[in-house]
Formats: sequence, structure tokens, C-alpha cells
Amino acid sequence: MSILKLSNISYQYDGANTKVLKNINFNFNQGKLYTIMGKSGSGKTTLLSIISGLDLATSGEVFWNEKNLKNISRDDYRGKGIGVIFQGYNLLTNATALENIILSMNISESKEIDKKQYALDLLKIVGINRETSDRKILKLSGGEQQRIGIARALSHNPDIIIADEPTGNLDFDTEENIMEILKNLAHNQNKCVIVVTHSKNVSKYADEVLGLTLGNLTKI
Amino acid sequence: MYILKNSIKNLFRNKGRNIIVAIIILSMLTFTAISMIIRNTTDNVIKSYKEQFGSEIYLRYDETKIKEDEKNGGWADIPEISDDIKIKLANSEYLKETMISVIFPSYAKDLKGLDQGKTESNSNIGTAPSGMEGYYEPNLTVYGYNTPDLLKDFKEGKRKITSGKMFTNNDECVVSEDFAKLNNLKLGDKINISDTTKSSEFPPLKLTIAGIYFDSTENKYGYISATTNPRNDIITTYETMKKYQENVAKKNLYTVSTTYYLKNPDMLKQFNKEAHEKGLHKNYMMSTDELSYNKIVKPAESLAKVSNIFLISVLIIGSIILILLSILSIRERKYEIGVLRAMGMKKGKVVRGILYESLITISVCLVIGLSIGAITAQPISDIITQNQQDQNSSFGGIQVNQEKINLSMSYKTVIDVSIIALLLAIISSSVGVLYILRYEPMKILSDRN
Ligand SMILES: Nc1ncnc2c1ncn2[C@@H]1O[C@H](COP(=O)(O)OP(=O)(O)OP(=O)(O)O)[C@@H](O)[C@H]1O
Ligand SMILES: [Mg+2]
Repeated sequence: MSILKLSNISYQYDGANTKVLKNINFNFNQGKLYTIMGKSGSGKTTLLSIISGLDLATSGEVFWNEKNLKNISRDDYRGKGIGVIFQGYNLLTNATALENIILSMNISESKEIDKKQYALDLLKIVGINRETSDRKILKLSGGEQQRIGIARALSHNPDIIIADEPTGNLDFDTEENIMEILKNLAHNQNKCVIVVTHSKNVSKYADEVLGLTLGNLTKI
Repeated sequence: MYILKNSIKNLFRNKGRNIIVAIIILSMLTFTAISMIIRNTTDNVIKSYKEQFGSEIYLRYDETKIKEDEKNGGWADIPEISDDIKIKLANSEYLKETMISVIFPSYAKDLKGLDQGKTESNSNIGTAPSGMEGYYEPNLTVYGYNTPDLLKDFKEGKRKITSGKMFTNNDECVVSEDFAKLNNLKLGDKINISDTTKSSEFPPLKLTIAGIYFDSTENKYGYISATTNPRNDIITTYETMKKYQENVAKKNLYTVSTTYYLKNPDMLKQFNKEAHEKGLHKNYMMSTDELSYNKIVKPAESLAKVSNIFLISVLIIGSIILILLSILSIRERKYEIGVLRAMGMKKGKVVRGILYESLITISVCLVIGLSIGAITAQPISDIITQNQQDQNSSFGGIQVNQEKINLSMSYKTVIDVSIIALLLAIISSSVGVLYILRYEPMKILSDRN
């Protein structure tokens, strides 16, 4: 059984005259790391926002564990089913790194008893030390923000992890480190990990490499 | 719970913006509180005026009607109002009571009035009838009243019965201590009083002294004579005078004046209508004491009006600033909302968070605003009341016995101000809320990225 199934997904922005996504059909499975490659503007972020329930497809369906997203609460899906690492981070800029993670855990109704300790541990895994955890997002570098975004996506232990250029702002060593974490999540914790990237180096971690061209998603 | 905590943290995170918002709301609430205090005070002034004077109605010319007449050419018709009509109007169902009074300046040849004969020294005043051929100078004044209960001087303690009693039956009267002493009068004595015609053909009015009063009232007319000296006032019943005029003198000795007391000051309009239906000439009207009304109620009303306009402008301007501020901060807000929604927070909870923020801000402002209001209420009210009284007495108007209005912040004020605060909370958060309800989170976020 596929944890995530895309069925005839098409998408057209309001006011645009062509479709960004055309009739996409694809099944994503647990235990695998996928990368999606494609030129800038090919619709990768758009596709991810549909997969993550942040936006609705113009036509077609997304199934999560056989359940049509249209028929369930997409808030719950976002809060519990899926972890998203955004291209633009999307962190609360006036709050600290730690507050961002704990808030996300609260929204996801995390059962963790010591949320603060759990968040600090996660931040440590992505390379954010204690001192940095208490700084406001505004005062952190792009790379640091990106890693906090990763920690947040993992904080509620979702089955699906989606990452939009998660290593775009990171140096080579940190990139390797992050990709190891994501690969480990797929292979050892049976998560379904989908990573959008331009980097061949990132794609070498993939179990399956997909290409998005002219609105179609195909295996490479 | 975490929503509330996050809202509180958020307030501190966006200190700059929130302090501006708080200052605006605070000033709006403070102005609201102060203006409501002014309203309450002026309402009280008006109320206390109405309670004391508002139901006291006099018959007077209707200036506007008369001017109309004159404008339409020629003279206005201003007939004398007959005593009959005046008395007939006393039967109105709108009236609690009516005081009917007559004044009869008269002459008693066996008695001496205080200041009698002093008129010569005021010879430049030509109105005194002393020098007129065929007439005596009056040496006393008889007053007839339908009821002793409404006599103001007695009610206010300026006159007091010191021996005997107030007149109760016809042909009884009360005289002043000074007058009694001057004429060696005592209780039970009979006095004879005539009109001032030297060749009077009808018998004198015979009154029995039922009481003697102490008098501390003052000569109101500015010149000294027996007629103007209040110690020469002899007070009896209206009935006595009426009978004397109709049965004995058989000619007009006096004109009746009436003061009507409404059951309720608001009935003035109906009473006026009824009076005209019963035959009161159109150029007359029933009215309160215009002078004191203008001196007391008008300023209070205009003060209330000014403070209302002021309040409304403050509220409008403040609301506009609040809306502008929330539009200016919508970018931040929008992003924040987008992020929260992306993390899976439900719309309702996001709205709750924003409402909490507003409500906390408002509550803090409310507490401070009401405190400022409560502290300033009494001084402001005192100043207003004092002003009203100064203005009033400096114009020589009636002194309204305004009780010092004790204003603690009234229950109603607190509720009114709180309702306004709540509206402000809704205004200041509605813009953000509208956004959440309309868009998919991706739209909100991508607009920014
Ligand atoms: N809100 C929008 N309204 C209209 N068109 C949009 C909107 N957002 C994106 N697009 C267009 O849709 C197309 C796909 O955009 P998308 O962001 O999905 O590309 P991408 O593959 O993620 O690009 P990149 O690699 O640069 O991140 C682009 O041509 C873009 O201009
Ligand atoms: Mg993109």
C-alpha cells in the first residue's frame, strides 16, 4: 500500500493561462527517499504544496493512506501526517528557534512529556547548539534557519517528510549530514521522504530520482 | 492553553507595534471614560434642575408667536388673560398642584406700616402712587393664597411662625413680628383694611390675626417704602380675598397670578396643548422659568453635546488609526498566520490566538483607562458643577441647590466603556481574522515569499 498517492493532479494558478502541473499520477511509499529534480519554475514547489495539503489541486486527488485529502481535515494532515521543510523556511521570525519547535509540537498535539528537552535534542541533531536555540529567528543565518526548519518538520514524528531544497543554503559537510539524517529516517524509521533539489549530490542519496518537466512527473 | 501562552509571548515579541496600539486604545478608553463622566454629571445637573424647577410652570408671553404676528404686519394681539381662565387651567390632570395668589396693596387708617411716609425721600422714583390725587399711599400689602403649603419663604425658612399658627380658615391672617410690635397687635386681634381710594364706598376687609411670623426676607425692589417693605405683608387665604372682591367691594381689586406644578416635568408639552384648547390665547404659553433654564440647563446641555462630539471624534479617529495600523502590520500578521496554518493550526485556533492578543491588550488598557477615569472623575465633575454654579450666580439667576454630585465610577460607565473596548478589540483584530478565513495557507505564504 502506498502512503501517498497522486491521482490526475493538475494545477493552474489563478490568472495564468497554462497549467503548471498536468495530470500527474504517482505513488510514494514508506521506507524510501525520493528526490524531485527540475528546472527553476518547473512547478516543484507547487507540487509539494499540493502534496502537503497547503493548497488544493485544480483537479485530481491526493490520497494519504487511501484517504482522500478532500474528505479529511487538512489541518490534521499537516499537523500530524506530514512534516514540511520549506524553501523559504517559514519560521516565526520574532520567536526563538526553540519556541518555533515547541509551538509546532503543541499544534501537533505531541505527547512528548518534556517538549523542551525533546526540541533541544532535535536541534542538536541538526547542528543547532543551545545558545543558538534561544536566539530569535531574525538573528540567525539562512543555513541556521534551514536547519531549524528541518528540526521542526521532524518534531512531530510524521510518516511523510517533504523538503523543498533543504540543503540549498548549507555547506557541503552540513548537506551531507542532513541528507544522512533524511536517509536514515527513510531506511531505518520507515518514513516516506520526498526531497526537491537541483543538486546531483543530493540525488545520490535517493532511492528513486524523479524529474518534473513540462508539468509531468517521471522517473529518471 | 498553549494558544494563550503564545499570544502573551507574541505581545512581547511585537512590542513596538503593540505599544502604539495600546497607547491609542488607552487614550480612546480614557476619553470615553471622562466623557461619560461629564455626561453623567451634566445629566445630573439637568435632572436636579428639572426636579427643583422643571415642574414649576408660569404663564408667559410666547415671544416667537408674537414676533410672527408682528412680522405679518401690525401689532400682535396680546389680550389680558382673565382670572377665570387661569383658575380653570388649574384643573388639569397634568398638574400636581397649583398656587393661586393675589396681591392687594391697601391702606389701613388705624395701622401704621413700617417705612410708612419714607417715600418722600425716594421722590425721584415716580412710580409710587403716593402723590396721586384721591388715593392714599398704601401702608401694607395683603396677599391671598389658596394654600399655605406652597409659600416659598416659609418653606425655605426665611419666614417662620413664632406665635399662633398659620392661617387655616377664611378671614384669618398672619402678620410679621415687626408689624405686630409697631401696632401693638396680638393674636386674635381684628384689623380693618381698605383699598387706597380716599372716598371708598365699601366696608373694609376684616381679618383676625391667627399667627405672627418672624421675617428675614429682604426688600426686593431697591427703594424704601411701606409697599416694598416685606414686613408689611399680611397673608390670608385666596378665598377671603375672592369673597371680599365679589361680595363686598363688587369691583376689581386685584389680578390673580398662578404658578402651576406639573406632576412630571415632561408633561409640559401636553399641559401647553391642553391650556390652548381650554382657551388660552395663542400668544401666551406655559413655561418654566426661562431665565434659570437658560443659565443652568443650556450650558449643561451644550457641555454634554461638546463632550459627545469630542468622544465620537476620538472614537472615529482612533478606530481609523487602529484599522490603518492593522493594515500596515498585515504583512507581518499574514505571514505569521500563514506559518501557523502551514504547521497545521486550525483556523479557529488562529482566530482565538489573535483575539487573545487583542483582549489582553484591551484588558490592560481598560484597567488603566478606567483607573484614570476613576481618579479624574470627581475633580472633573467638581469643576463642571462649580462652573455651572458660578455662571448661574454671576448672572443673578436662581441658586440651584446642587448637591455635590458624588461620582464614583458608575457601574454603567464601566459597562459602557467595556463594550466600547470590546468593539475596539474586534476592530483591531478583524483585519487579520478576515485574511485567515479567506485563503489557503499556501496563498498567504507565497504572497510573501
Ligand atoms: N502565486 C503564483 N501565481 C502565479 N504564478 C505562480 C505563483 N507561484 C508560482 N507561480 C509560477 O508557477 C510556476 C511554478 O512555480 P514553482 O514555485 O512551483 O517553481 P519551482 O519549480 O519551485 O521553482 P524553483 O526551483 O525556482 O523554486 C512558475 O512559473 C511560477 O512563476
Ligand atoms: Mg521552488
